[in-house]
Amino acid sequence: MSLPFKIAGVEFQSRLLLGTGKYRSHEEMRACHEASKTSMVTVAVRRVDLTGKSGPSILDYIDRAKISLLPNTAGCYTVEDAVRTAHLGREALSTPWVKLEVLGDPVTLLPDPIGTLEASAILAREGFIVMAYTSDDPILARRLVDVGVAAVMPAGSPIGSGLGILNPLNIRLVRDTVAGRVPVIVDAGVGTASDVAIAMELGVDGVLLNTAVALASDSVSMARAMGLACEAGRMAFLAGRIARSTAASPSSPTTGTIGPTSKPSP
Amino acid sequence: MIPITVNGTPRDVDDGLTVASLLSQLGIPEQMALAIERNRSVLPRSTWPEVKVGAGDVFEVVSLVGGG
Repeated sequence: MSLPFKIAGVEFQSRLLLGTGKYRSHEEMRACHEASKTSMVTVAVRRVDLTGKSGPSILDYIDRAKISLLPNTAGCYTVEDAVRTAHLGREALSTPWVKLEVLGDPVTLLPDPIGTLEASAILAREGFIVMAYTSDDPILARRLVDVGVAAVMPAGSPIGSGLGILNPLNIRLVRDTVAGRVPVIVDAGVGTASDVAIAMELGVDGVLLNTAVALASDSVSMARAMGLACEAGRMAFLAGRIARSTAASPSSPTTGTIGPTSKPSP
Repeated sequence: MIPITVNGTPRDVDDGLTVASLLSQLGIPEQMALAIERNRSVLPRSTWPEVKVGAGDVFEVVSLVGGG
């Protein structure tokens, strides 16, 4: 019923991508990844702690047989920093995949559209498989695809806000604009499972989230709920929802009711 | 001794070190998932045993941490 989920020609079992940040422990993170059935997780590139205080590596808690790693450029505010960080991530993990973030502002963490486009062009030219975090602008999405990104990842709402999909129309327009060229993955803003289902029902190819699972009271249950919502939303999209109507339409026969009946006149 | 900068902090190290020996002096296990940038260019892992640390070099030594 469902076509396989592919990015840059590589097939992934799950349409839910998770982060690895903000978890209370590495063990809890691993349990969440398992419960969600995710097949790709993001990691951040950061300076090694030279005071010797760093604990075990997060990579020891990721089952790389089942889960692909996607290094990000989180925290970068310039094209140069994002490109340098992408190069470092590629070297550290021997992977050409990168989640590109070029942020515009530390308060909203919204992407810098111009910087994102420039960095996408540079990295795509250098052979990276660029998954670009972007705003929900369909025209920018098209420009990103034109410069060679492998996936467009519009924010549903600001990173970590839990506000869900604030502009479903734009997400839909992004999807329609680049459909058939690259997958669209809603990245950022998810608060709970229904947000994932709504995104998937809009027809996007996947959802990437972190905080909504990592900081949920019962993170493992939330991770499972997110995985189920992702599947449910995808299935509902493919199944084709009914048209919205302002008029009611009874589900039970209007004839054969026990008499005598008297209907109020409209 | 020669002055270099590692991860934003100036320090003096022995002259003639290779990048691999610098890592070991810094107490960083080489088998970690690491990447090293010298003067804004990534040094491929295969070059670490040969590349010499020079006076004034600026290094970034990074690894992977949790993130979204």
